[in-house]
Amino acid sequence: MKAAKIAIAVAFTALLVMPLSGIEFGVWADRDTAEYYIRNAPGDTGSASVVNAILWDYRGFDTMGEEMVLFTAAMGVFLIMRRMHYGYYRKERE
Amino acid sequence: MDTIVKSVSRILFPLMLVTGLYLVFHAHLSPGGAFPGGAMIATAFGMLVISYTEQDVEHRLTRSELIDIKSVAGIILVILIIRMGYMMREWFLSSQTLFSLWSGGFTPLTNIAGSLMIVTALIMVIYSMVRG
Repeated sequence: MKAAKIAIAVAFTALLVMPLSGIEFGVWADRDTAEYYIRNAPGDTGSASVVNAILWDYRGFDTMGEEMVLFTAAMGVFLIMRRMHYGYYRKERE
Repeated sequence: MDTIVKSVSRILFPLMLVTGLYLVFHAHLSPGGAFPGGAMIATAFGMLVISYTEQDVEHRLTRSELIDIKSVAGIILVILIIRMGYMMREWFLSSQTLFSLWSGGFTPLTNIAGSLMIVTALIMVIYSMVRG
């Protein structure tokens, strides 16, 4: 049973990795977007760090959504922990 | 906790704060950014929570203050990115020189607001995990 599960896991991983192995990395013809960012980011945004320019300027809306995800996760932890805390005290008092 | 842990964390706390603030304020010039800088500042507070008690830290920085900071930072972030960023882009870029501290368009301001969001979120998670 365990061997069958391992075989299924290996087959699934191979299925995932096989199409990726056909992609060639480092081909300059496919690097239009990266080329644009590297050449034009300091002029477009005034930011010397290209990563910062992409993260907060070109894709600012994306980063704002990321912040909202973080906010929602923090709120979820806060509410779950508060409920667990109150449940604990209620059980202790009874 | 032990006295050694308390003393070392008391010495390390301002250094971690300064390093995190450096990462946030120089995010448009050097590696770093709002996410790692905010995580480092929140880690400093988490270290204080572990070495001292949670009540001692929360006495100085309460949860309602954290929620206030978080709301203000979120509103600033939304306004900066949605409204002011694209409207005042030319004014920002014309008043700035590349490689100086005041550069990067409106990204330094959004970096600061975003790091405030991350700091408050992580400190709230630490508080609520330690004590309900």
